[in-house]
Amino acid sequence: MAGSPGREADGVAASAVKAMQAEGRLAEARERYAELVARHQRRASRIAFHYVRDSAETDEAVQDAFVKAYTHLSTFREELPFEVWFTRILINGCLDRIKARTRRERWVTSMPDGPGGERNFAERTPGHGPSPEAQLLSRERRRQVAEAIAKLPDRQRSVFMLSHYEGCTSREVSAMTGLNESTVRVHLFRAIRKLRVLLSEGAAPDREK
Amino acid sequence: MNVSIISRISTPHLGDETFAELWTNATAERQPLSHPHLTECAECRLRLASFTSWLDELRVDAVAEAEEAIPAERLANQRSQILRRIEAGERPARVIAFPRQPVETPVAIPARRWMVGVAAACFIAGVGLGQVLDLGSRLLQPVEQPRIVANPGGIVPNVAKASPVNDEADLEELEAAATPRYEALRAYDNFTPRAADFVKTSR
Repeated sequence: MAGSPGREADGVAASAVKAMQAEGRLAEARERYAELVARHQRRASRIAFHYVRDSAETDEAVQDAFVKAYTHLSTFREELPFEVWFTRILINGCLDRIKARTRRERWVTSMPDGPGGERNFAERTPGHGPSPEAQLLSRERRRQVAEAIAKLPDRQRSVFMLSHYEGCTSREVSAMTGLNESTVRVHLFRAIRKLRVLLSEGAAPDREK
Repeated sequence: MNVSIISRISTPHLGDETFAELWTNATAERQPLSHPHLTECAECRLRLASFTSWLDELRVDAVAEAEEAIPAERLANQRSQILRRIEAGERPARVIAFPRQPVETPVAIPARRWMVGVAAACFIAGVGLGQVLDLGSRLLQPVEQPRIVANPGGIVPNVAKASPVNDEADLEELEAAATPRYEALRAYDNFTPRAADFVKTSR
């Protein structure tokens, strides 16, 4: 999470872009907005990926969120940090995508990935990274975690990812999700408890071996 | 979300649920994890360390996975796409002309136009002259007006009937006109039968 000076800079940049848009200095507004994009892009992509778990869809979700934020910048109020306002747009977009995908998957059966679950040929080529066995184990562990997180209810998942993965405080999560601060804590607690159960269930057969 | 006293008494050691609660509170308040039992129990401290390391692993793994899935080149491409889309959105809408066949506009030739004008004028003059002449001839001819006879039962127009055609007289007239005036041809004429003869025989 960006610190306070970063947030102030974001606020100043967002207000400047808003003013430029109002004055019709669109090229300058775009240029200034590009700074904001560069500053928040990586984090935004990470959050989107945790939700949609697909690189191409992550790209689209992040693009949509930045374009939407730019076109609706006139509704941005300075009292709320830009980061919080933007993340809210991003999360809503990601949740919409997940809903749309679920609807789609009801009708369309997707083709299975490669034998090891690979999507990319480059992943199968030998390299200097970790051994294939380590890669396989890591991939398997990630898959289990992702499945467990996907089983959490929407709110618990959002709260857990924002609090734990992105290091947001309960107040920030509250502003991003529109939930009460105390509700955020309850959701976080329940999410951890449920994850602990789900992942220990998944790991149990391994222990028996 | 305080840990109930009963659970503390019944289970001296802290469970996962308590750890989750402690961890949640510590994360929310940005404070270190603390519990009175932890200062006394090394086993629980160990389990708490395992619990927090499990959570840390989850985070590190999730962040690493996301970073791997979205490398720097992808981010650069994404940024340029965002700016392109914003720029395209700000551009005024362009009206695309509907594709159609080129139409040849007729070239106005002065001579052709003059000829067309003369032809039109002649036509109008001809029609007008025709009307005038027709009117004149009608005025010169006496027109037979139908006689209207008063009738007590109602006015019934009594149109005078034309005189009956005298066929024989007409035929004679025709034959007289058709009779050749030259003496040499009269002999031939006498061979051919007369129209009047046909009329007579038919009666």
